[in-house]
Amino acid sequence: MNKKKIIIVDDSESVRMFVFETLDNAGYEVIVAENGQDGMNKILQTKDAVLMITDYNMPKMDGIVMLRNVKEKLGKLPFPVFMLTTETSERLKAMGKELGVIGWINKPCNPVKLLAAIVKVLAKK
Amino acid sequence: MTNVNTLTHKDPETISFLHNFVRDCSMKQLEKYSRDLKISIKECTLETTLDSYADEISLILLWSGIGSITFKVHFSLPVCMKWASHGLKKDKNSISTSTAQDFMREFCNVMGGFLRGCFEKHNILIGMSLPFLAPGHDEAIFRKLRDPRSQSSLWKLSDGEVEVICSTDICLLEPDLVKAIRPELEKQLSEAASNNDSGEVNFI
Repeated sequence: MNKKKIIIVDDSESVRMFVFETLDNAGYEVIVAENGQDGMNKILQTKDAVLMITDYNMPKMDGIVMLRNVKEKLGKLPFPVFMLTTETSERLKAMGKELGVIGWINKPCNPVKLLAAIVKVLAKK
Repeated sequence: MTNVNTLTHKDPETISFLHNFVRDCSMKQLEKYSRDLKISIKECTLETTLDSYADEISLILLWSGIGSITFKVHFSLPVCMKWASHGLKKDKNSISTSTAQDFMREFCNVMGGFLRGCFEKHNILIGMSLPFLAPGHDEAIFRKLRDPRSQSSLWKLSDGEVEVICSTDICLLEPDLVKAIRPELEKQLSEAASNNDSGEVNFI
């Protein structure tokens, strides 16, 4: 059986490792990107992904610009997006929502809460 | 109280408050970020400092029209290995040096994001750098480049066994704006300390 694919975009190695292991242990196939540019390439290459978890504050391209660029290229985001970030600004949340971000997660990541939210979102698809 | 020399600032009480605010935030944020290590603050005097406090530095810069804040953590590898092991819930032997260093870099990101959020709630827009790592001896360069209008303070964060030195350089140009929101900032810090909302997925 094919595993469901989830893309993680974060410039922090320790965050990527933590989220990767959480999702991998839960049976997902995890695709990892290290910055916004890399993330955009991975989205365009992996159209069968079911979800994306991305940071906001990253080198080369931030999370919002990355999503905006993808939306411009594809017309819409191909899957739901969670923003995993230290940012709490309402202004950024509104910008993310407009682009298709459905969940806002304050770092540090809690594996139990993250997996529960993923199951909830994927059950609706 | 911080060890900052506040007397040279036009509003010593507000600059002192801001130094203490950053200091208290660092303790609360590290407790959350390390997944519940019990962290305490220890005093550290400016007089005892050298050009290099530790092997490495992680830092982040925040700036706006009202001034700027630089937050730095001066740490050694065994400390970041221990705290990364706790925070990432992994055995110390399975954590690479770069992952442990990144753990401290990301701590600065957590601090920067929290401070930025506190001010943006009051419509004070803040620019924030990416967090980054530097060799400990670069402190000599940072000191040379420091804004002469800024004031520094430092303190230790300890888990009872090991510790790091934190420092902040704050340049406060508009103390009245900070003074006006001071009660709210204190409230935000106390709420953040009591709410364990880290990792909560807020559907928007």
